[in-house]
Amino acid sequence: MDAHFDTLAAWADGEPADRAAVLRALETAEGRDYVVDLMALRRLVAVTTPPAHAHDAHTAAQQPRRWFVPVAAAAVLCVAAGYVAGRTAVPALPASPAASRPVGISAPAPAPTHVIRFEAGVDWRETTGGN
Amino acid sequence: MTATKTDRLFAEHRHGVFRYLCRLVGQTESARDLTQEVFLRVARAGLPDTDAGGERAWIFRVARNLGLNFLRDGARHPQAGPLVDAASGPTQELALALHQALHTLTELDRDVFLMREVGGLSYDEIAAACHLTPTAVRSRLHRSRQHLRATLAPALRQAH
Repeated sequence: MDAHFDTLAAWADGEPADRAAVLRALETAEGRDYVVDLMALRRLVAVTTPPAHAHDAHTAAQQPRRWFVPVAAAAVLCVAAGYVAGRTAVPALPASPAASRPVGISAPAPAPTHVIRFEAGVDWRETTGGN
Repeated sequence: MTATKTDRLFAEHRHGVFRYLCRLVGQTESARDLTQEVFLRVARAGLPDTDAGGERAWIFRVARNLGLNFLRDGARHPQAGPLVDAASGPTQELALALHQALHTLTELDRDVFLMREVGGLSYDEIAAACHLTPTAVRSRLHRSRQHLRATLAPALRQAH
């Protein structure tokens, strides 16, 4: 194997190479051609080989399906918790209309339009007439 | 092997292994599967007690073995074809030319070349991965490059 090519290959590959030997090799036309072709070959391999992130892209494409499951589970839990909280926090029905008035309203109640008085012994069957 | 060490090895080497296997088997999807298999085997078997260079050499040795087994089992797998990325026409032509030229090399010469150019391994690491001496690695690299220079002369002019 030609010593010049060996020196230039080691230098291009980042291996230990004698500086003087590299300079001597680069003084020859064959040596310069070799380095130029070596770099072109390296570039050709680089541009035609899938990039490193192509490996991760496939894995990343699966990520939405993975995180969707716990997000959906959390949403279901929130809805269920809200339902349970709503059921347990429902206030008791007021005993009279007056009890449903919010606290703090000081306006007087309107006057009654009809007064119904219970009288014992009265026949409460439906009769014609009246309102 | 601890999960932490496996994670570290995966993070450090998965890209180089993947790209090496892409070139070796010629198929991106298969290379992804093989890459996963490499690190599964590393996790199960454990690495020998060695330095960082020895770790990489060992991982690429596993990758090489899996890749070669995949190619030898070609009868039971889709035929390996040239890598066709979502690229323009000229790049696809270059990829085809390079793929064909690589497969005119001997198996070992090709593996040495790919470990150097795609995997980025040093001569010593390639020697450890391929059961060679560093001198033999240099010799095979030189032979591969001379062969590819001759075979791909027109393509190399385009790649400038």
